[in-house]
Amino acid sequence: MNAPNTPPPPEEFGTGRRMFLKAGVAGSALLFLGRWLPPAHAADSSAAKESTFAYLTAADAAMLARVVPIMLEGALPKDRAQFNAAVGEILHGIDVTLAHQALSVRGEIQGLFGVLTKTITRSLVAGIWTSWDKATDQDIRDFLSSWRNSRLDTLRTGYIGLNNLIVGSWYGNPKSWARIGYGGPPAIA
Amino acid sequence: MANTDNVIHGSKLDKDLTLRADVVIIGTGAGGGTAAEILSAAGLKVVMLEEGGYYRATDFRMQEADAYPNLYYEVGARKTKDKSITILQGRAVGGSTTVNWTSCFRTPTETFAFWTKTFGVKGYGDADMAPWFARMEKRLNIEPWPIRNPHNDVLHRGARKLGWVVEAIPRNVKACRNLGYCGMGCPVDAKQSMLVTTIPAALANGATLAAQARAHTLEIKGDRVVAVNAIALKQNSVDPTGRRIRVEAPHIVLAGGAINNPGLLLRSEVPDPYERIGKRTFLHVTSVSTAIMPEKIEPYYGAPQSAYSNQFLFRDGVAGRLGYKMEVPPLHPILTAVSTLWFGKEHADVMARLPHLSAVIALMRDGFHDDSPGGSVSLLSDGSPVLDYPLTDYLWDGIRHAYASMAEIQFAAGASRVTPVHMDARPDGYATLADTKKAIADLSLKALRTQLFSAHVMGGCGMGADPKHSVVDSHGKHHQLANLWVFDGSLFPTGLGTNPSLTIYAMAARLATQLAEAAGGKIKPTT
Repeated sequence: MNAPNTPPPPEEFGTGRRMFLKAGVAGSALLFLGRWLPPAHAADSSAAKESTFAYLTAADAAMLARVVPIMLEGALPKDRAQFNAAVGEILHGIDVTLAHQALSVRGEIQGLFGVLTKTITRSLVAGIWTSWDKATDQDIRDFLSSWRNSRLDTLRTGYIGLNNLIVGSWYGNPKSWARIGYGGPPAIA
Repeated sequence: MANTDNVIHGSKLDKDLTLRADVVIIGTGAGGGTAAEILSAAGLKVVMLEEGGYYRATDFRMQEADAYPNLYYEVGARKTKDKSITILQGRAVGGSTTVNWTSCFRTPTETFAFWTKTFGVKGYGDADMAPWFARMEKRLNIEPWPIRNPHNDVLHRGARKLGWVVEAIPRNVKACRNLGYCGMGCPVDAKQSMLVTTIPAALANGATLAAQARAHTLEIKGDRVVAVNAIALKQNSVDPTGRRIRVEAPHIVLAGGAINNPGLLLRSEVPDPYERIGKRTFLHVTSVSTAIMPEKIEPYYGAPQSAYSNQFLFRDGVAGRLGYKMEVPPLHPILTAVSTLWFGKEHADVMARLPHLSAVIALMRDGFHDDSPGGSVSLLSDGSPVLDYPLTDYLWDGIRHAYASMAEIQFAAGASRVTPVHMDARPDGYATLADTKKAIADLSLKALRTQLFSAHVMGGCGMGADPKHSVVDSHGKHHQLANLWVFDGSLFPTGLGTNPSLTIYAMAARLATQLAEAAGGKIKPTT
């Protein structure tokens, strides 16, 4: 019923006192901070690279390249080359979604990615204390679980946003259909 | 083929434009499309403004990955302010009629009676509206659909077994091939949407259509709107190109839906002495129950909606505890995946069962009780509208009741396992009705744990006799401005209790005919 996108609301942290209080001071304050910090620490080796996407930064892509395989664990091809191609196509699909999103929502998603790619907020809000490329699979499962089950609306919103962007991008791709038994659209003569 | 000589694409516009017309219509969905045909047929010069792009059957490839970004607001996931409700709303020439699931119902008698009694509207008795329903049913070939796919048969069979009311759904289709992809735009022009009926007719009558053109503000002098200022949009219907379209017309019709119409009025700072604009906006908030069936369902093939149950629509009368209508949603891979808020193995396992998955949805009949005041539209800092829809205990009571009813139907139809779609329910569901009911009783019903949806935006420019409680009168005319009308679902003073397309077609046909007469048009008698 819903579609490839559920963004978090960083816009409201700056302007919305109600949301700020509702979310709980600790989580919100950190997310708020995430918007204003400088880009990811140099330890995130990918951060300095130039992005090949229209909207995703190189740091966003590096983060997503680690989160996508955990969100979709069990659903991606096992063959290494096919796996890598699938992850690349999922990131491309997320970039297409951003290109078609309302301006305010596009900004909110970029705000979420900002939180997840800046060293301080990534550590304190997501509990990922290393760069994404050094985080273990279990670290990332723990991060997703903690946001999914958080008492804070903002973190649950962030989880739902990540889930929808990633799974929406993969299951729109015909390569995902054989595993789930979907035969695709019928031919029309 | 539609005459496309008088179609403007905002993305291709290389200079600013000024257009003049007798009537400018903002929005080309069920309300705007219907009004455009009638007003242009009366000899009036009509300009239609549409935020979305002009896509046709040849563009519709039955791919969710194309359809949601191109044909829906916010990539198919427009959200309420706190992100707790996901709204499916079309954004294309034809509006939501281009992507809806084709279910067409007459308005419940109880709803019209409630409007008359509570809001003092005049001319909304069943007898007043019957000829307009009949006219639009004929125009759009609306008839009960005789074929049930296996998915809709789950609802039909389960309800029958329980002795509950269940009926066939009338659909606006002609030579429908029962493909199942209505939500991605009909690839064979079988759906009798505005895109293939009233809009081509209006173009043939000399109307002009500007697509990828977002109405930004109404220009007001005294008690009149003198022009609509629109901005041209790039191919994505989001980013402005920098070009502008100005339409000057003595009659202005709003038909952009219950979120966009209030947004335009608020941006334009139209007179609103009682602060009614954007208030009482309704959604038919919808909850979902999925079931694993022993037999293959293939819930993505066949007409998406062909059976419904009104067993609990008025479970406690019209104005008592919240009632709901039960239907079936199509389950394509993206829709299913993003409605499954697990990750890793649990998510992969749910998806692997897709051919055997089925679902029932319950649409809450909002707006008939003091504890169901609906939402309110306000503007974000960038001027775009957002709907704040508070989730009340009254609403949760209806949702919890509906989870149990849907599970009863699914088990009666032979389900192996049933899952109320909620973040705390087991992803593989429960094996018995008793276990499911126990789980439902224990669910914590709150925002962003309970998955809520809407495909029906209504209200926000409600009609009524008293300007203190409404935005427009029974003719859809604005209470404060002399030449501004609202002809779409945003004038409903409550939710309907049924899918709104046919109500909008019929009301727009009637109100547009009244306007055509008032504006000096020649109305030909219809047969």
